[in-house]
Amino acid sequence: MRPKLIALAFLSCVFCIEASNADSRPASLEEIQTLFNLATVGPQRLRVVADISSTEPKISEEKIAAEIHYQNEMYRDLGQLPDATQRERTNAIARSHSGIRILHVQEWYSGGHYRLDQTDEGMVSQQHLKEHPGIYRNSYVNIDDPALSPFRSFFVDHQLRDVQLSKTTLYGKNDLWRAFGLDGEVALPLLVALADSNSGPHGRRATDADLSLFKIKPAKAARIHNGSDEIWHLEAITESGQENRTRFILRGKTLLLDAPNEMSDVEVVYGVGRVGQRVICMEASLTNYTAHSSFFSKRESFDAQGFPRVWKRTTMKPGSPPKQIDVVFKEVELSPAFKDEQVFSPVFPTNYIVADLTSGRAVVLHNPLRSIMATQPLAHVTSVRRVIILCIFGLTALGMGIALLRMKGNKA
Amino acid sequence: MKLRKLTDVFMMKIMFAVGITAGLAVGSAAGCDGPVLTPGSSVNTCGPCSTNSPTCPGFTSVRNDYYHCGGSGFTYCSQSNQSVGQSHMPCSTSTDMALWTRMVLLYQDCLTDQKHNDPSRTCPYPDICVATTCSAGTAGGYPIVFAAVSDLGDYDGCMLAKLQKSPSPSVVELALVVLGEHGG
Repeated sequence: MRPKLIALAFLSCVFCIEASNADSRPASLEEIQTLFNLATVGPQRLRVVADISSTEPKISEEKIAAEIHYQNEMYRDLGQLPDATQRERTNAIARSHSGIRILHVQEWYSGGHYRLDQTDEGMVSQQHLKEHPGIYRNSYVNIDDPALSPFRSFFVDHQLRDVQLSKTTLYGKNDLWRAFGLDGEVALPLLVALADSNSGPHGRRATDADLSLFKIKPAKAARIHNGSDEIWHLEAITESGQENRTRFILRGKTLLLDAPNEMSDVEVVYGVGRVGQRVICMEASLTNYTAHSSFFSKRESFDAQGFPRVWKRTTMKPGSPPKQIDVVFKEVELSPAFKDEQVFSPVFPTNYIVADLTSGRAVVLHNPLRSIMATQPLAHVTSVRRVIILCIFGLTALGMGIALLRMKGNKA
Repeated sequence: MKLRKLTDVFMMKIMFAVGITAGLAVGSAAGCDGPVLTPGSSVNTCGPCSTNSPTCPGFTSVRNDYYHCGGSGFTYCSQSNQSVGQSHMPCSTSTDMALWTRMVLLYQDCLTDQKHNDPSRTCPYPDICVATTCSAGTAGGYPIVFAAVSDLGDYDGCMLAKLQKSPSPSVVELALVVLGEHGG
């Protein structure tokens, strides 16, 4: 517990060391609006290629045994495999929880559509990675659009050439578009402190795509600016030696994402600067003094578009190990030219198995092996048979002709 | 008389060849019933959302559809132990920020009204699960390892490159042999 508290104090003070000599002042109305704009950045059409790494506890032998037992219960045929395969199963489970998890991803965002192409290093052997460089093993696609398909989603295992469609399942998203604005954890207090509760979408359920519809309430901004707000206090510190970089500290009380059932005393720090013409949140931290939890986010290596190529997040909660997620972006395509139908439609090569998994049991819709045998024999097999059959008919006709001629000759 | 005998023998040869060829043609199609497809399955126990964190309890386990060696109609089949699914994938918890913001704003408005205008007004905490979606996870969990046909190459069906010897050349060869031997 003590190391965690020390780490919490360290994260809270990341900013205070840098600007300990700087003077604090009330944030200007323009600065308040700038912060609010960062908090209302919503999802946008995007394609990114990235590596996501996260830390996790190493798996114990007991947990491995429990997982093997669970799998054997669920899939009876697994328990009957030979010893060598059983050893390989154990090794694969141990390898999948070695302490760090690395995902190689390509993500496509467009409106409500989402596609994740992924190779999870924990699920494949090193040999597989070597033999299939740059090829994603799996695809998870949320279609959720009756105009494109009656299915809501599909999953593809490209190694096994298998597609599983579902009319019910939707897959979780990594929401990498958030690298452009603020993390949800630190955006929420700003929105609650400044947004007009009458703004936003009306008459329908709000979604993240509606974030930009929220408007700042001038009266709230004015109160925070002049320090008269009953709940929220915002100060600004221009950081010494770093042009165009300002640290904002917001303190107040609200319901947070990780503690939604109690009002939490919260302090949020935003390190904001400029890359070109774009305003960027470079670092942000949130300390929940009520729940004794904290969150820290850092963006680095910005490209010409102002997109960070490195994004690191750490969450700490009492009673659980720190959770760290690092994202390294390799490609970022803003406003990409792809067509939704090409990326999100359930269209597959003919040699893929296709099954409907809506019920939990696969209903095979397309089995390449059987369909080819039953309806569409391969071309050169057919042509060989045709030649044989034609030859046989030809020979038969010839034979009969000769026989008839011979019979006529005998009679004569 | 001799010519008639010869004609009869020739006809018999042709009939024999036709029979053999037809049998092989049928056999080559019906005999290729491998490899065997194992249909997949899934278990999704994600949700319902628990209001304390919020978190989505449960997990997703998925087993793919895949081929394994079995059936007949081929003389060679290559399979290897590989991941054919994933078990105990943690569920994905996603709280819609726009919706949760709106709910918290209305709660704050309620508190303000309670404080300044109507002390008897009650302001229940908003339910974060209304704004939270539990979805199937895409990472984590444990691999399900099983022997499956690998390296399908660019072939499929009965022409799976490494799985069988094509019956077609045998048909041709046998037909030629039959005709050759009896056609002497």
